[in-house]
Amino acid sequence: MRLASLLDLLFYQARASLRAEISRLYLNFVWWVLEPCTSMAIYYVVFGIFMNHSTKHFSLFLLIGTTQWQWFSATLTHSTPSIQTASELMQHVDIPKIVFPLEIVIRDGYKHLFVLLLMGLLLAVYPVPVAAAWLSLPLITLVQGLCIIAAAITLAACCPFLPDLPYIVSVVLNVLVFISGVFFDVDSFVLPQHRHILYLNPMAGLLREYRRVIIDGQWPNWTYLATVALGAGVCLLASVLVIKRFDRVYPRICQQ
Amino acid sequence: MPTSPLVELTGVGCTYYIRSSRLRLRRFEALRGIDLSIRNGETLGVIGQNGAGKSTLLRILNRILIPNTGSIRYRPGITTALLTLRLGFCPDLTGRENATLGALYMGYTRKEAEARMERILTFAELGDWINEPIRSYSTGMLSRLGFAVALEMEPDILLVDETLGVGDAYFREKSSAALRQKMCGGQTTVLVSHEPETIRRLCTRVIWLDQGMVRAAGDSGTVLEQYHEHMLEPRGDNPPALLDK
Repeated sequence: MRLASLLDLLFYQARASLRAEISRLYLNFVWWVLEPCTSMAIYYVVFGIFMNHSTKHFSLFLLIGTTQWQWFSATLTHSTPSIQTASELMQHVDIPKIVFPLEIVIRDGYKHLFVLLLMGLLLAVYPVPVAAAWLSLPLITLVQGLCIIAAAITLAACCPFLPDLPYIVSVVLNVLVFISGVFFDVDSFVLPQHRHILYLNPMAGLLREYRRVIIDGQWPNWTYLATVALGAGVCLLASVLVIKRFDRVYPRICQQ
Repeated sequence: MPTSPLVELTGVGCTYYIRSSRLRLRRFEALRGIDLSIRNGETLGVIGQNGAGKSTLLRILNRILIPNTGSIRYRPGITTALLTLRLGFCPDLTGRENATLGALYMGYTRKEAEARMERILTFAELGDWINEPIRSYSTGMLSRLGFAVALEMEPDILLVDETLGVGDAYFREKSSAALRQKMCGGQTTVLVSHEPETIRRLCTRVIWLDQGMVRAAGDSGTVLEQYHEHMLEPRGDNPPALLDK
């Protein structure tokens, strides 16, 4: 398939799937915002009020955590079984299998863009001072996007060989949400000798960088961002090679 | 008729593994030692009982599956496509959107897909329904749309698996005629069919697959006669054997 056709297919399919999803629901795209906002409200009540563990600008702190986590978690959950789900289609057309996870990445990326727009509007009225460091936000988003693409393609590439993977991913994401600092500040609540273990998870580090920029108005840790981007880049390259290597093996594996 | 092969299969074999329980894999040899060449402009018929390996052969020719044994050599730049109805169709999208999506899956760009849209819509004859979600379509309407999109494929080798005519009597005749016209117009085609008359009328050469192997190959009259005699013989028709891995 030519690159131009591939890109046209990816973006058309992603937009068509979103339109289809919206048409099925009464509250259509309101759910994209409602989902992270509901998580934020629950965390606020449990940790901020009942447990009295709130930090500075706690509602904004939680909103950053839940929206960015939602993007990461939803994309990985949806993309993991994407090659297997397309099993029937694969039997009829010779199509690069990378299309399936990439389409999910684009689809969930559109949703996140919509949430980010609303978050931008909220930031305009939220009582945190506007800082020059906010200019670095697109870069942090880009690094997170790179991590998400790398993880999405890796999981999708492995899933046909390991059919239990969607369940494993679900369990791992449930664990990760508790150790990524989505609803607590790792630097305040975790013992110093354990922090580096938590920061091995790039989502924990990226959430720290988002908050440092938005809430504290400071520039991000460039070395950390570069390291995460490099790691994600290597992982992405490896996953693309794997998915290409098994491109014509997947139709047979998915039929087993 | 030009005779240079577009694709050549030598000793091609294909084995499927079927997971019958958590740790037990069984294998099924769908094709064994297939030697075949397809020449430019010919319509090659493939006949055989259910489970003989016909669809697997089409998937190998379409580069969807790689054979376990043997080799397959394409002339450089040769494109293949399996005529598939409702390729990538989504029930919540309109007929027009699905037609675009189907054309994109065939490898066209958005611009090329839209350039073909008028022809697709005219052929499908769906009127105002084209702007409605296809979940509200009848099976016949879906087949019309699917066929109209599939007819836009322009590969060097067209692979057809039983899909000669679809829909009601009127559309069935119209779609069969359109496909026949395509085949007779120099389109290299591999046609799988259970209808001897269709094979006799359209194919210049026929191969008969039996239990994954070529039982006979040659001009359509001779091979069809052998196949017909075989089908009349009293025998126990067993499905292909499943072997332990």
